Amino acid sequence: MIQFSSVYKSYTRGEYALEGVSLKIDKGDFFFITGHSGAGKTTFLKLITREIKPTKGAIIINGKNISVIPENKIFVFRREVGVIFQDFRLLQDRSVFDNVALSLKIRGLPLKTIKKEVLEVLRWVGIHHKIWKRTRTLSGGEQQRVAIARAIVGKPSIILADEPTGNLDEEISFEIMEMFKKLNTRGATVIIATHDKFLINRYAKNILSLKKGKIENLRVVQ
Amino acid sequence: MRLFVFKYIMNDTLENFKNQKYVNALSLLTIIFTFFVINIFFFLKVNIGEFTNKFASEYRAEIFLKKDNNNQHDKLINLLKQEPLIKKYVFTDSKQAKELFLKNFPELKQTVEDIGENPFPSSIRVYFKGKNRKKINEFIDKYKQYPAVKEIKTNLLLIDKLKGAQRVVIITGLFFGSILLFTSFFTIVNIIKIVAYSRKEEVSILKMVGASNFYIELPLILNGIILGVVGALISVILFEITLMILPYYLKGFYDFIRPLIGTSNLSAKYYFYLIIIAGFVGGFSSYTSVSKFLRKEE
Ligand SMILES: Nc1ncnc2c1ncn2[C@@H]1O[C@H](COP(=O)(O)OP(=O)(O)OP(=O)(O)O)[C@@H](O)[C@H]1O
Ligand SMILES: [Mg+2]
Repeated sequence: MIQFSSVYKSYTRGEYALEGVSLKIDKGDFFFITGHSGAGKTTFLKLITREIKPTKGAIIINGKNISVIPENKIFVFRREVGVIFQDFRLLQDRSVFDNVALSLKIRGLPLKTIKKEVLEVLRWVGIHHKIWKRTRTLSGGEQQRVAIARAIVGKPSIILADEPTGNLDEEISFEIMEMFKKLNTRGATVIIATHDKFLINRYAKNILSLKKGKIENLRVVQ
Repeated sequence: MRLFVFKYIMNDTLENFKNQKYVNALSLLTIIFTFFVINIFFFLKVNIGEFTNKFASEYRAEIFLKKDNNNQHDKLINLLKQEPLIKKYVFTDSKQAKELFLKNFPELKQTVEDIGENPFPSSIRVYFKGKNRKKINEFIDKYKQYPAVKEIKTNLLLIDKLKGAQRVVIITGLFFGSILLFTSFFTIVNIIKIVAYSRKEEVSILKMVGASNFYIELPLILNGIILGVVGALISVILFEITLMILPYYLKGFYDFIRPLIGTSNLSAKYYFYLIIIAGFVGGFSSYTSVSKFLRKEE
């Protein structure tokens, strides 16, 4: 469970990117965050991975206040969270395999196991035929699949996606969304930030709307 | 921590070297130069030290005697026997002195024969107990007056000069050595900074997927350690090669100075410590760099 209690985040003095946000996201939820550009969606997600710390307030994840985890221990928590960015954030000069294997190498798994699991996850996202290609040679949709593979290969319990379909055409967007849906039915908590109304109408059950850092609307269906 | 992690970390380390081979090579040169110069100073220090030990470890005096006065000689020796300042003495009569000289310089045999009369005086070499200069000088002043004594020479001045030389070498060595060590330190700090920046994107991805600081930082720290160790190792090899080929280039001059500068090479133990220290400097520099440029959090 992810719990925000009156969370404030300010990058520059006096201005809040998030202002007094409190909410709960249940384990196994399929959760959407929406709002205009600059509303604080990315900030919200970065707080969950503790890429940034809240200026005020507490973020409790699986019973732990993640703000107090020391910097040199935070990696253990981060392995529980898979993150997908709008701009993919792949190493462009490396192969698809290398990019995905990274998540497992850092855990010290033997190369044999890594190969097996990477291949398996690439099959699942449908990009296994390009395993040895450099990511720079892939299309946007293909790169997004690689990014998803990297995020889920370590079997995280929380999956965060920031505008996962922002760069993709409609058909591929739906394929990607179906993947998230499947991951969710397998038990992962999935949180997707998007301002794509179309996707929200089609998939969203629980949804947080932000406006200038404040909660505009919070819809949670039990 | 699983064993495979080290394999991946080693791979990353090598990858960094490959990606930044020019900056790494540049810093390697700095480090080689640093430790080469340090080797030179240690070499000088060791050899002057050896020379000092050979010729000047203890205070002694050579009492040259006037000729044909055996009676007086015996009296003097009896006096010396009772001197509390003297540890031991060695008497060399003029005949022995000549034989010793001819043994050391056989090519001068003819010259010596030409002089006819034995030119070598008898002498007594005395070794002093302790190093009290005042007492030794008093002793010399006293015995200089003695009728059988022609001249007394001590090694006090030589000792002073050698100690002075050794001090000069140590001080200049420390001066230049520390300047160069600092240069190496800053070079490594900056090289690691460059490597870290070139991997900035990868580091942020590694953090995101949950890599430990250990996993992220160790390749960079290893990079520094390897630069230090390899740099020192190459400096050692270059220095040994220099010592080997120097005689061929300096030929006559080298023959002349060799007995003066001594025969000690730097020991394996010295090299071992040098390499350890170099590794430590490399590790410390890169650690400094890493903790300054990599560990930032909002
Ligand atoms: N690193 C930063 N430094 C300063 N201000 C920042 C930083 N990151 C975000 N902001 C500001 O915080 C506010 C919220 O930004 P955020 O990126 O969370 O918005 P968003 O909802 O993700 O927008 P978009 O839909 O454009 O991605 C914005 O006003 C933005 O300018
Ligand atoms: Mg955003």
